[in-house]
Amino acid sequence: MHGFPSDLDPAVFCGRELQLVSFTSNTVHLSFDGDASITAESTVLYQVDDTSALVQQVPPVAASALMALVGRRVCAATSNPDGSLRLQLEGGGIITCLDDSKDYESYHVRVGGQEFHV
Amino acid sequence: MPFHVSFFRRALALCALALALTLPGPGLAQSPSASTQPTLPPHYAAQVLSPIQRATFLHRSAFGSLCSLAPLACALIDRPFALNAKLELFVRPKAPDGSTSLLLPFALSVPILGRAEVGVGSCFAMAWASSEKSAPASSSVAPTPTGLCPMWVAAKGVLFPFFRDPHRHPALAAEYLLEYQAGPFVGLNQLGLPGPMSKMSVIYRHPLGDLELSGAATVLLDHISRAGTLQIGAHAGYRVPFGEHLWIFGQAILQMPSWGPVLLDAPSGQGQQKTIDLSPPVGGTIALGAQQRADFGFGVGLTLMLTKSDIETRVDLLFRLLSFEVGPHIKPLFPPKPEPVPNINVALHTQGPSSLCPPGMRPAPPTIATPGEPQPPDAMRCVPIPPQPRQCPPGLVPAPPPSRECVMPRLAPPSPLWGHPCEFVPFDGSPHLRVGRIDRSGEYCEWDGLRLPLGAIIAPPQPGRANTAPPPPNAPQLSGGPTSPPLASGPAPSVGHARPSPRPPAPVPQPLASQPSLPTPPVQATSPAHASAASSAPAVPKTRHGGEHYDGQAASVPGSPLASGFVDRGKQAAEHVGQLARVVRDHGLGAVVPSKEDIKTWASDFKHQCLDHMKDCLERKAHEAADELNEFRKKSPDDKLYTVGGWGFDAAASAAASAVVPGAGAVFGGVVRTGEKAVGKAIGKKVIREAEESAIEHADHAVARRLLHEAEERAKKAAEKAEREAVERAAKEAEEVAKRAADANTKRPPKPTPKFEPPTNSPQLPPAEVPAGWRVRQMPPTEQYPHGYWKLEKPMKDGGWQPIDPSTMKPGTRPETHIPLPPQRPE
Repeated sequence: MHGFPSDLDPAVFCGRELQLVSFTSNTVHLSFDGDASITAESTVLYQVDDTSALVQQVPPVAASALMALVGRRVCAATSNPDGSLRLQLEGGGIITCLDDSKDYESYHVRVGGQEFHV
Repeated sequence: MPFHVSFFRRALALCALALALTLPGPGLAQSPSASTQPTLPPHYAAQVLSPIQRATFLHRSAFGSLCSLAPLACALIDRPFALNAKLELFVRPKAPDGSTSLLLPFALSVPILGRAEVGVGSCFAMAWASSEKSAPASSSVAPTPTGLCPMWVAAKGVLFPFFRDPHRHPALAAEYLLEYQAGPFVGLNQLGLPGPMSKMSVIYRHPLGDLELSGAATVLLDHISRAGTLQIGAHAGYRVPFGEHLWIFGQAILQMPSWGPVLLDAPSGQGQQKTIDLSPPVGGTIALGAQQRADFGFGVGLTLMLTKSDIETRVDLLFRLLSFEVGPHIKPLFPPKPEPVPNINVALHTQGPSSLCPPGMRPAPPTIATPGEPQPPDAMRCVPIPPQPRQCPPGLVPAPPPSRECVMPRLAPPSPLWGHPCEFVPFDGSPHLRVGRIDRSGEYCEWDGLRLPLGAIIAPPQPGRANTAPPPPNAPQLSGGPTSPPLASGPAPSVGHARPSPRPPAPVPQPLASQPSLPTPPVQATSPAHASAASSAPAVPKTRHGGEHYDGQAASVPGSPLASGFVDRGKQAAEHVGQLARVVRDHGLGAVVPSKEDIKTWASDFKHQCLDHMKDCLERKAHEAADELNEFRKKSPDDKLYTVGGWGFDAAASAAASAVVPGAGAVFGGVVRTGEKAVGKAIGKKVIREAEESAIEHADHAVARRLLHEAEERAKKAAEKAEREAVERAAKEAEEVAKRAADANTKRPPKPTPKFEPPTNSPQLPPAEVPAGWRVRQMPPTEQYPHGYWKLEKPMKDGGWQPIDPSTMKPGTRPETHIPLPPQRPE
């Protein structure tokens, strides 16, 4: 909705370990070490490894293998002009949060006490 | 099943009726009265041997190349065509009269397509006496079993099933065998009588995996004396798990009733009249044996046969000395058993201390005791067993969790676009051309052997460059159907297909491999172009990534994998290259893309995979050519030849494409250039093609393999060089394109939402009070919310905030949790 914030450097996620994946009826929450988290209200794409399929999930999520990425560290993080945030994790894992709506917020990033709404 | 039963009953009824008409009278070994005796030739009685000698070789091995070495007729027939010869030895060690007999049957047969078989044969019989008794006479006056048997001709055919494979389904067959004296084959027939004899059988076979059950009824009838008998038996065979065609079997045969005339011989010197009963003995036989069935070579067998009749009890030994088959392999009939895959998920039953820990735990490793610290003697600590990396057989990889299965890395998972149509879309807006189906990977458009990368842009020929692909005789058909104008008539009006943007469409998320995801089965293309091409090809070649193996039966040039691969792929893909050439000549640039229904999904996926790491993506695609060469080296010689045969055409096709498509590539929307790989491949494979043409001329596989090996080395070097150049060039272009795209995107407004759901709550101000800990987050105006919006959020234990629908004070969807602010009133 708002696009990726220009004052947020996606590289802030690099080296952080995905520690918690939690779901609510309308969000997917990804917690990283060092007080960083992402709360997605919209589409999340993930891939467990190089050989697995790219899986799309939109809350409410009924079943997921996103937990398979818990414990892996982010080795690369990039943002795109379309507002999406892509995290590349160890072992070929990928998490991409899409900003796919102009009408509603798609995800929220919280790093070091700061909050960004996309 | 009702049809089976009724048919079988009818066949039995017909046999019984024929039997009733043929037999002089019913009963067990009944003899007709003197008044109904057949008219016998002079001196017939003098040629008749004693009952013991007549019964010497009453049972002989069944007719047929695949029948067991035992008497019961069988319904099994080899396929598709073969010449079968066999030599056997029957030994009757000691008859009650003290004689020992040998029989050497020999036969030739020709099975036809697994449904009929004809054959001829005869035998040589010998008999000699023991030391106590005199040998059977062997003179022209008193014929003995010694000498050549009559010649026999036989035929059998499968009556049922008509359409299904009779080897794998219950089958009913009939057989007829005629023995007659001709030339040197003047011996006694199977009933031990001098004269022609008929043998008619009806057989039913029921396969049950490696077990086969069958039953047969056979009537033997001597033409002159009308003596005969009925044999009814059952057979059970089992294909043992070792060896390819080794069977053990057992048969039980009941021979009854028997019938025949009683001859009144000339009175002897004492005035007594001698009577000779020609009816065969009534008895039963049990046979047990093991046999290697003929399989394009030699087959052997051994059978032990016990016969008990009203005149004797005897044991016969049957040896199949030689069974030789010349013809196609019968392995398709009895495919070899697959090699058992070792089960690596072995459950270990722990012993000792391990057994003391609960499931899922193991004893903790011994720790180094601290000096001075007391260590309990029986202390044992259990720790959870850490998850072990899954072991998979070679060639497989662990499936993503939570699945515990092993999957093929390249085949799984299939693209959701698998089997969907793909099209060539001219950029001038003219109707698109259906060009096949998307392959399993979702990256290529498979068009009868022509693999076009999705996203490839095909350009018209450059002036001055040789266009060696003349338009095909049949004009290309567009998917617009009959209403679409022919391409040769010039630019055609659009059929609603918008001119593609130089950039991919906005990445609107569509299900990629969402759960559950069911792969769409591939279906045949239904376009007129496809149909016309397919109809001209006798065999559809297998795709390169779908298990490309040479199939001798399906090959268009049997016996020549090289020629088959070349012909199969070339016939169809040549048409398509010509069609593409014609379209780009008439309409200019165009792109190979999925159909209108799938373009958004594909573009989103394409962008997601390649845009963020352009160079990696390009290198990966460029290395596919080298991977194919590596895979090629691992193939069997026949598969190599078949594959290279196909490549031979690919090289020609790619060369033609590059002639009409200068720098033919795969730049779709300025994203990536995948088609460089095809050009690089074409350069390399062109060398292979030259070698293939030479190899085909020689028609010698040994020469072909040597030439192909040399060509492969040259091609590999050429391909690597081309790939390097292509990657460098494409990466440079892609970076520029990506940069331009990024610049354009920064100025682009937010993407439109495909299915917009308006907010469910009317514009309102946020509540003055909210539950403790909750918050109201108010956001500034945007294009969609000119007065701003607010959200009510509830804190979560994980540190996040959950949006709440203020109308219900419960979690809600985005339309329920985004509340527009009302216009501000002027103060």
